[in-house]
Amino acid sequence: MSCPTESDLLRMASGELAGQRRDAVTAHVRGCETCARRLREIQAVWETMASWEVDTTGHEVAQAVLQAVPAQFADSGPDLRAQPDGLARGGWLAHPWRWPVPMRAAASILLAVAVGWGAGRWVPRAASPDLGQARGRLASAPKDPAEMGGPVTAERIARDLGLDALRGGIATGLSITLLDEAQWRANEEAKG
Amino acid sequence: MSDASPDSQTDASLMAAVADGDMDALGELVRRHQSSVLATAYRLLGRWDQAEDVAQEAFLRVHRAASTYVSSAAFTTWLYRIVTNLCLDVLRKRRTGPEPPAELSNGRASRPGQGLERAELASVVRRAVAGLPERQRIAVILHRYAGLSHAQIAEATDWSPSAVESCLVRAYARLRKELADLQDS
Repeated sequence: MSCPTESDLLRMASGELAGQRRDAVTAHVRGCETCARRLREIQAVWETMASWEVDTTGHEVAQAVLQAVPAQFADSGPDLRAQPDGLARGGWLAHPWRWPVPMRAAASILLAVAVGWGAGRWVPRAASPDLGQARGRLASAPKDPAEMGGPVTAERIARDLGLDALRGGIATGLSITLLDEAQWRANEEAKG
Repeated sequence: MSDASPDSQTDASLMAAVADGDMDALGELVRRHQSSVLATAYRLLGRWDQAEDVAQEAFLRVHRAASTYVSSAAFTTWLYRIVTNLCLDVLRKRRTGPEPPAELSNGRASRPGQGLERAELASVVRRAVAGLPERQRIAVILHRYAGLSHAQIAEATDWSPSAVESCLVRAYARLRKELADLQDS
């Protein structure tokens, strides 16, 4: 065998050289004073460098690392391992911020519609008269004014319809005009 | 996570547990490797504050990348790739920015009770390594102190195997000369 390279001798000194290559270099060095000297010099440097020890006591980072990891990745949290189909337990579907943008946009629109629909059903009665009830009262209301218990006034009609006010010409959504404007004026003048 | 205690688990199995959100596994990985990582970063940078920052950031990156870690790659090689890149970032900033104040102490260079001779020798070695060109210094520190093989150094630094060989050979030759001059004197 020819003389080993510096790199081989370095590997020899560090213990990295193994197997047949190590055996071959070892055998050569035994018989070659030049290579034996080279190896001794490299080993001496290797051992001398060991004197530069670094004590890391007091500089540990374990606590800082564990505190820096977001709480959502804590052990009690969901399984965040990415899955190809996203449907694994606690996978990406469980975390809206991981959804694709179109999916997030669609979810936002649906949420807005649901909120709007729910708010619409919750509007107080006074602001939105139930015209179904108004038609019912009209149908069952006495036709003879004498039976009505008093003159028919705009206020009375408004009260009966469940409205805050009733003025001539206002559309009530009913098939007949309850009160035309002329009659309304006449009633108002009669009140004085 | 496996029923085995963290102490008995391999780095690869701990990484799999970290990917599942197991913080105990992450803690075990940090405790297992932080000393070596800190020492390597300190030797490369010469400052404890920067070494701690590098070590902390390295393990946070390990955590973030746990789900994509390929167990066929040696964990230590992957970890030192992260550490080396972080240290190189710091060194690059030093070149472009103001020089930070040098630390007066290089950490404890010898064990208590050892003679002055060993402490002086440690100081000489430290100065000799610090005097190497940057790539030789990085290669020597990863080789001699982090225990990486020639191939692992190539993976960690993204240098070619021949570049690593060249750096190491030149670095040890230079160190041999400086230390021999010291012994002669």
